[in-house]
Amino acid sequence: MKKNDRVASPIIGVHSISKWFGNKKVLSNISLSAGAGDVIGIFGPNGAGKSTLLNILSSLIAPDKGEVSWLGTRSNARNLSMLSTLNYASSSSKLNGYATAYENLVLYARLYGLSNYRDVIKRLTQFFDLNEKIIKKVKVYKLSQGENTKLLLCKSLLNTPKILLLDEVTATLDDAGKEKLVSLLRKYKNNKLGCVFIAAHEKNVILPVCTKIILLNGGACIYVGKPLSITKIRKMYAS
Amino acid sequence: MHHNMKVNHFIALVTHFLYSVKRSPYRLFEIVFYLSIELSYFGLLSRFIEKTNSAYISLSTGIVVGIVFIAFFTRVMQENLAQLFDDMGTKNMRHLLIAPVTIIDIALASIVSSFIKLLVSFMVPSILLVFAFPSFFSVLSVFSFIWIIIIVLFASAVSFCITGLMFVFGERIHFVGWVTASVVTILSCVVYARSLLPQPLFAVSFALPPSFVFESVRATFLNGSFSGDGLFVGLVLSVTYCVIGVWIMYALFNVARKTGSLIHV
Repeated sequence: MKKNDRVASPIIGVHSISKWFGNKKVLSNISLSAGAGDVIGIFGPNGAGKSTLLNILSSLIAPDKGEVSWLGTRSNARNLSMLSTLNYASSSSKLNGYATAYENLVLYARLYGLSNYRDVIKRLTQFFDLNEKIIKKVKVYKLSQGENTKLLLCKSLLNTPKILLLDEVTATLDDAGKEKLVSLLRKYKNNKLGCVFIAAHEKNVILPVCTKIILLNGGACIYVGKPLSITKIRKMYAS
Repeated sequence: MHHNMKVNHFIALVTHFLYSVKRSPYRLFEIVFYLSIELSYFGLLSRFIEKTNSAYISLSTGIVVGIVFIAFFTRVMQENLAQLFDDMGTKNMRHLLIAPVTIIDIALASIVSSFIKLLVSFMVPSILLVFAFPSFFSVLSVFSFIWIIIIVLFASAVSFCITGLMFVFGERIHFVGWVTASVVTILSCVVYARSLLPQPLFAVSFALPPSFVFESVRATFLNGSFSGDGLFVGLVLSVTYCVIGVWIMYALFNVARKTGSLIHV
């Protein structure tokens, strides 16, 4: 199929993508698509290719084989229109450490073209229980891991993305934070706000809200489809 | 893209790059401190030469001004690289690259924020200069602003190339920036005439915009009035290098997207 051909994938999809880092194949022939209301759990052991898949979906890196499609258009080029409808959070990253959480959120709100960002920021920080004094006074490098993850989640929701990519955000959240995250995922699912791809090790937190899961092992997809129980997932990896 | 959104992007990115100074005065201290030390050190040397032989007054002032401007060059390059280096270290760079901004947006914001930092860093040493070396200001004209523009654009061009290399090879490659700065210092003829360079290097120096600045600086202080000979060539070269620098950064960014090395930023 030629590039830019229309294909049947609602919001975003990957089509037979493979990726090598040097001689090491980190993703092998992965296909997946997501529409509004889809919450897709990406599971697998360390090095399975979860983050690489998210990095490809975010356009940060390009696949070596296969293509990414957005609203039916296939292309591996960096597309600013797509990026304005997408957002990303990963607890292994930080925002500008020299600025406060609020200043960072204003900065990204401007980058995503928000005009009424004060209300949006207030709503999001209140939702994730981020203390107003902390977000306006404390520089980001002084935040705890949990606070940093909550800040990244706030940033990832600024533009109410149609494609939300979350990489290992559950690990550093406290119980209340996890509940907030799950309620957010339910909102995406029930109100069909867009699609969410979430990579995590904590299956018990994420699985109940997933509409689809993908199991990766050594870069290969061993299962993609309806959510399975944790026991079945363990059996699949064991076999 | 909508014009207002472009302006918003630009303001956001410039603000982002300025936060390193605004929220951390010690960074500003770093920028000002080393320049002030260099000025005091070489400035006192210059005063010593003046007292020894009055015939060398203009020459010694020219040397000090040359040192000031090469310090500008390294500061601009350092700041450009430092702000992008910080973003790579914390992996904030990936959030910027996943946002709907172009490499050109980042490059332009980086130039403007470096220019602002340069002006701020110039304030404190210039107070030193007013008292210690009044001759620094006596022959300067508004045209000498071109000296600063050439320096900023060329330093930015070098830092864009290094940033592109950091996209592909990671942060460890940043040492290339300091090596380049040292080589540029020699070939730009900061404190000696271009004609003193051996033949092959003499030819190379014509390809370096700062060499035109320092030739102009020396001529200005020796003649007692502003001399802009060759500055236009230097300006055209620095604009050209800046465009090439952005293009190289963009090309290397695309290489890094393909190899996957951007996962580390």
